[in-house]
Amino acid sequence: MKTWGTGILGVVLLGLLAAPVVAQEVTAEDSEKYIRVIQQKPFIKALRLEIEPTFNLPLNENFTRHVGAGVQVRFHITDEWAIGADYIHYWGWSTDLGDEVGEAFQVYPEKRLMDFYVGGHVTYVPVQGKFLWFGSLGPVVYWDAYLIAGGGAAKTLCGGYNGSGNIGLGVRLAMTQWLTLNFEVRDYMYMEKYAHDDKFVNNVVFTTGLGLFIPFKHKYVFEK
Amino acid sequence: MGAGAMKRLALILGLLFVAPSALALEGGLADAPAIRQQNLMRKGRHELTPALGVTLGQSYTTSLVFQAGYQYHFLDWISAGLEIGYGGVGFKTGLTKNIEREGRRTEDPNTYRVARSSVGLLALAKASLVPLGGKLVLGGRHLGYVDFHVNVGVGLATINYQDWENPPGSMTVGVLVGAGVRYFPIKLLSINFEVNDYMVPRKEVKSADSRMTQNPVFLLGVSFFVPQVKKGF
Repeated sequence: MKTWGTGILGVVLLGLLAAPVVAQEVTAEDSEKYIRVIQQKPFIKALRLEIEPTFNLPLNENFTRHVGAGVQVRFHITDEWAIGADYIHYWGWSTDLGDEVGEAFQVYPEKRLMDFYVGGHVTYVPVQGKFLWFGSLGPVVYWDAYLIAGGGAAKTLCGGYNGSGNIGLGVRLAMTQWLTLNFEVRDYMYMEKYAHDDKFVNNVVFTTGLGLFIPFKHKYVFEK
Repeated sequence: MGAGAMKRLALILGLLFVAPSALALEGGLADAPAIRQQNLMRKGRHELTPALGVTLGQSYTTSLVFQAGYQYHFLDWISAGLEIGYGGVGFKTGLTKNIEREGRRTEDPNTYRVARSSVGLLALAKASLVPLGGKLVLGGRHLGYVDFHVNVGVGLATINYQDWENPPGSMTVGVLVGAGVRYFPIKLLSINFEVNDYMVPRKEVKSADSRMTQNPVFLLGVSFFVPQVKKGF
């Protein structure tokens, strides 16, 4: 019986000693050269549709104030490139500044309230990263920053349709696999016809919205 | 098999089962932080920041703002400090030029010049929170660190008057609310983009009433951090 026990002990010890040797062989220099470990990207946009209801706030207004609501729909061709369309409807009103200027200086600037913008755009993502809340709290938040450029038509309440180009940048925070929180600043540029002459207008608009991604989850080729 | 051999076998098998689980407990992931050896880019560091800015959306005067700031970061996500800025270098806006070209001051018909004011010196104590901090990859190649922070502060402000005879007092209070982004290309310094709103009571033009005005400023700054970065758990 003693030999049985010694035999089992020997086999087990041999196994324990052999295991690291095998492991060393597997993790040898050669394998590091040829085996590349790639972690799955946790949030994939490629080949997914993003539907984003938006709230819009023009930033550079003096004589008028507007708020807007709209929608952006974009298709992500790759994780970096996307094409889309957007629509903003504005509600506006005049501020007190126009009256003050009229009373104080007898100057009455012509004001134009915006009606809507409709157009298409292209986005490119040059930056992506991950955040932690307050240094260490909660789950990791994946995010990216994108550049956006587009064109379309802008209409004011008193005027007709104006061709409009726009450029801007935005940030997208991935809350879940299918929901993002987006922030964007874009300069919508167009020529507006005023009573005296045409004027080049820069309408800088802050936009925030929730991006809904369809399909709801990316299907990995090699699931974990 | 005798009783002694059985005991030895049981001991061996027991050790085989216990040892891996003990190892797993030692290096267990359940209670580990989300990130190990995290670079604490701010905790325990002093931040010195020169910055240059420009006021946004002002009706009568657009001002350049020169600023210097100091902050100490108690934790990776909270800091406090001081900032001193000067916004006395200003330019007439398009509205002011139009008024001076076409209008006339009702309270002083002898001049076309608009008597206007802008923010002058700003000296504030401020606190900063970093709700979001982490890493970024630029163009798929360049790794850096980044944070999003919000600022609040309170202090003293002076008012600058332009084309204004016998201006009222210039010393007042200022309140700061703002937010920005720090990008660390290297651990020693960050490039900062901020928009701070300095709220100051003043009369924007001579004919207007005194009221709390909003003076948003876009600031581009470079922060120098000392000492070196500490590592987290």
